[in-house]
Amino acid sequence: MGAILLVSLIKVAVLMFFVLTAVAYLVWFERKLAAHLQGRWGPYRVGPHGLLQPLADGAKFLLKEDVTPAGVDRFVYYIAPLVTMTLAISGIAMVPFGPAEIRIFGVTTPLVIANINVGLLAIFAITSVGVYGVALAGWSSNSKYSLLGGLRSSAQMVSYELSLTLSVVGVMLLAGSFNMSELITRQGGFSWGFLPQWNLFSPPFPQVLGFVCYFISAIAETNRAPFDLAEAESEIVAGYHTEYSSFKFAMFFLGEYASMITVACLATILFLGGWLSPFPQTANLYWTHYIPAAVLAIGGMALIVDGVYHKGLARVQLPVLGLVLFALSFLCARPGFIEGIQGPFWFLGKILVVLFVYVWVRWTLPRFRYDQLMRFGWKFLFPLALLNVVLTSLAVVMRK
Amino acid sequence: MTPDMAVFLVLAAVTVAGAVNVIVLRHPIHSAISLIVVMVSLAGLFLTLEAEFVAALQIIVYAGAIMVLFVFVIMLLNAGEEERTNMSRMARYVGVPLGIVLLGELAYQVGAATLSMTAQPAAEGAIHGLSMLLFQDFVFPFELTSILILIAILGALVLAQRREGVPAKREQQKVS
Amino acid sequence: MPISYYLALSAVLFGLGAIGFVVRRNIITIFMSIELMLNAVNLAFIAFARAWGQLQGQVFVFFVIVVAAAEAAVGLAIVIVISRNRHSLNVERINLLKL
Repeated sequence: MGAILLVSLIKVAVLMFFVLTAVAYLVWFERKLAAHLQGRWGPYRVGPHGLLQPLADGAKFLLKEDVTPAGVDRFVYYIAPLVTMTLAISGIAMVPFGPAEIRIFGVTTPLVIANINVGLLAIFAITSVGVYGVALAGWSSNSKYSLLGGLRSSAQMVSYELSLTLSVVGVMLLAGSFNMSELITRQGGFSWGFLPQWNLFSPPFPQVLGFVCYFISAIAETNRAPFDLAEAESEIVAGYHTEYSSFKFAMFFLGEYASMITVACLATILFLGGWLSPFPQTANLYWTHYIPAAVLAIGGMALIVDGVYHKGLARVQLPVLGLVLFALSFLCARPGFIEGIQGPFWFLGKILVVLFVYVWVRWTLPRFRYDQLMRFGWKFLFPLALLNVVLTSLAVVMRK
Repeated sequence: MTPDMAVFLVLAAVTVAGAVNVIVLRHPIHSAISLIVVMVSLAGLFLTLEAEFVAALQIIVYAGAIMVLFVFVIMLLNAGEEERTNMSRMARYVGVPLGIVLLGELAYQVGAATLSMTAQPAAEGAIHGLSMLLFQDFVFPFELTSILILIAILGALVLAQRREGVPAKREQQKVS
Repeated sequence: MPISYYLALSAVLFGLGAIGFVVRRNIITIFMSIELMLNAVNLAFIAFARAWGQLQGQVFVFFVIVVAAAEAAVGLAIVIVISRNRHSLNVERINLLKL
């Protein structure tokens, strides 16, 4: 009993470290990608290729003056960012990262913190309580921009939650369970020998409609462009987090990016096959097991070569980083490790693709006006999700 | 003190503290937040009673949608704190202690009844069993509740509309 | 874990909800005390469903939640209309049949 508790605590600590680092470097990724989409460089000076920019941002947030406006409701003002960030990070506890089981201190545990039977419902429950962070922040700031932005944001989140939950009902019908690990294993198998049976291409009814509906609702749910009228700078100062400064603002910021990561994890698990590899696991395709090692090796060599073109400290830092990646690639090719690294590698790869599309959409499309946004959610996405449920249940019944 | 008992005591303490806060705090927003805390800890208690689906439903629907409605209405109506009046001497010195005694007596008498758990958890296939019941034995009330929700939506829309010809007054002062 | 502990908690919550309903004067807080009473009843239903190993208790809780949602929607709409007409949320000022 004590050993299991200790192992769970270790898993939680490791995952929290990874999630917080991932959130910080997601900010870097977005800024670099946005810059390259707009034809400029992005962060470049703080560390090689701007890699230390998240550290600088973190230091700035911690050292800024913490201003509390007059007339705020103190208790609610302080707990609103806490609620947002805590709930956003807790969603990752239900996500399985791979099929393997690892042994720590003699206890064999799976690669997921909480493998509950209603895992999918638990993530949606956490998302739906996350509306309060926004609403209470907007109200407690005692400012008209905040109140208006907070009310609009929370009304938008509540409306798109409906299409979000309905769009995954098709997936649940196909799998027959709410358990996340089971949802992934039911997507195993390959139709016609080469097309993976992920829910996006699944045999009875490909969940394309469901995926599109889910992705759009997720972008609206996390208040990102093109659905970010309620917090955009040119429209409403900053919406519900206008009156927040330094660390409390950092918590809102972290919460938004953490919920982006959670949504991307869910999209991968539900529609893109989670940690399953896109190649069939036959004997003559065994070379695909060396892809993680190959990717790491190529990345390491690219960094080493790139280090030559820089001046000063970056001339040392980049090649050292490249050598570390190269050493990791050798580790990934060793027989004991190669099977264990397959699951997490494909999972992370798919999440990166989803996040790339997320950031790409933000910096390409113009904003929706608020009434256009609500009309789109209620009159187009919601009936579309219902249509997906009806068609999927027809397909499931006819398959029997 | 088994782990089950410890978990129950913590959750029960949080629930009772939240419920007391609902009826004691003066600003409606604080009461609403306390009620949300009560609902979430009740969902935790449902989990200890092996009702996972109902726990998730409680959080998604009750704490995540109905209470959001309450919070929106409080924000839109700009509800302020209740005026504080002194209770009469009778209420303060006799009423409150008697009320606490009544609650304690109720809890003791109900808690002392001997009704123990049976050894058959319906855990495997609980969701399956629930949906079988819902769509076979209780299908008529289920369809009726969907009509009920439709009526509620229409009713709320019609009631809260502004009527033609009545100018919308600017509500500047706090309503209390 | 004796079920009677859960029932005692449910009784205490119901009592607190009833006290809040009687004592408070803000109409929205009265509404919230009603929701507290409904939650106490839900806890009792789930406790009994576990004690007797049947799932009908959980089905009934499902219906209670749905009905509470409908009731909250219509009730809050009525509260909005009342406050728009009487400019007050104090029940002691909403005690005339004719506005």
